[in-house]
Amino acid sequence: MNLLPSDITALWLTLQLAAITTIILMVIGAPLAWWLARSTSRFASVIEAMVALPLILPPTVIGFYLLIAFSPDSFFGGSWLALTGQSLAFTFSGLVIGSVIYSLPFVVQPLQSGFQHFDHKLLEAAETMGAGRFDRFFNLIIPLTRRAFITAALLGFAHTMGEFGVVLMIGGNIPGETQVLSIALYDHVEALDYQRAHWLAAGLLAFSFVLLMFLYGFNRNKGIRAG
Amino acid sequence: MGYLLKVCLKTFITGVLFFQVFLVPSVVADTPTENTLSIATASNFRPVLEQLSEAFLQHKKNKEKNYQINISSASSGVIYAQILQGAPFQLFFSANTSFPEKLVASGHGVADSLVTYAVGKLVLVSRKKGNGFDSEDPAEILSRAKRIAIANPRIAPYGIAAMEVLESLGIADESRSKLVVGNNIAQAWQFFHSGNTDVAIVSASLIYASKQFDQNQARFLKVDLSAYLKRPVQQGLVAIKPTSSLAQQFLDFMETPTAKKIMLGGGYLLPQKRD
Repeated sequence: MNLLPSDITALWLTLQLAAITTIILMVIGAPLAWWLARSTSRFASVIEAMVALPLILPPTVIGFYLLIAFSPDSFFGGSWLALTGQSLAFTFSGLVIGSVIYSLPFVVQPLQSGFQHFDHKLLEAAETMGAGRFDRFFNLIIPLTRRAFITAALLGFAHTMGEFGVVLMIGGNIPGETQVLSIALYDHVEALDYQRAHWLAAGLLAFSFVLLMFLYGFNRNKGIRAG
Repeated sequence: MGYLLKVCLKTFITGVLFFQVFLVPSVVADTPTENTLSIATASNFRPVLEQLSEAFLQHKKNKEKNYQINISSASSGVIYAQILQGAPFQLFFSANTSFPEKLVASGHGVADSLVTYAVGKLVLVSRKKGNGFDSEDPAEILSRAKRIAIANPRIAPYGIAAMEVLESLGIADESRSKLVVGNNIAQAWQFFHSGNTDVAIVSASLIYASKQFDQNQARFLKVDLSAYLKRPVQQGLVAIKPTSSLAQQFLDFMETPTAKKIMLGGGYLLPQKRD
């Protein structure tokens, strides 16, 4: 194997980033998606547009504005610095924030779709029988929209594994902290180290393919694909 | 006229107009002409190169032809790799001399055209803190800095030079964990300028080009690092095969006093003698 320790570090770092981002997104994405699926207010379409923005914005745009926001001179960056004593740019925390924004639609949209297909009469029936909110959520909603949850989690994870443009703008290419796989690959290519680049690129490709194959296979086997 | 004839005529005219408007310009733009010059330059030299191009085009304006110069910038290593893969540049302004030399050795560059066109100045920039921290000693500034932005030493000559300075100051090991690496010198500057690093090692030319620096002179401290380099940053250029007469004319223009004045004004030193 032609991989150096720095490549293994990059792999591990990327896995961590993807895992943490996915967990955060599932926690904040589920309530958001639920509200979007059920809301009738006009404000909902504004929020929906904001959620969908990272789908079409070039990641470098997200990274560009994040770099400005992270700066100690700005309100957000300055507050963070005052609260935690650390700057946000070029840190893992900064990458997590960037990834959460970048992968937001990939988690929220499958969840929203799943919730929209959910029959709300079931909820009302459960309520008349005395089931509380958490009871209804964990014992009724999640089991019936399980596929949406799994899709959202896998897509969020895979999408963050492949993040590049945002990290390029706010990462600073620091091994062990912000040098994720896609950046390490880019670095090798620019330095003409094509052999190492091949290892990383092929590895990422194989991983992504297996993940997606699992996702679609899972969805296909569990009955109707629409739910 | 018959109805059918009218329809045919209309379709024909629309088709011709469509062709004129959409297809002809793109066909023309795709074929490299004698009147277009494609130059690839290391990021640090871009601002000065843009001024030089403008001056060159002004100089040529009396002639009838409409000349155009296209400039692409990236770190020198990236451009070198692109030219090896066949990128259609006619001139390459590198931030070092080894990439142009390698291109001549690989057969892509014209041997006669190899020349050092400028000598770069490496500088340290830092923000002056309000609490009287105005030390001009690079070692002290770098030791106190929490984050140091440099260009990537793997691919950018100014990044390599920055590492050289850190080594010669004896603080390379302790600084390593504080380094923030930009793809090229322009990104290193962006990291510093946006406030995310307190210190950066960049080329003097970037500072000259940055309008914000002029406005904020009082806030930024600039220290020349030339004394800490074993060799100054020699920037070399090479013409890429196949050459064109426009490329040669531009190279001739680089020798004129106007061009030299522009380079000096952009923060570069002139080479002592021709290679």
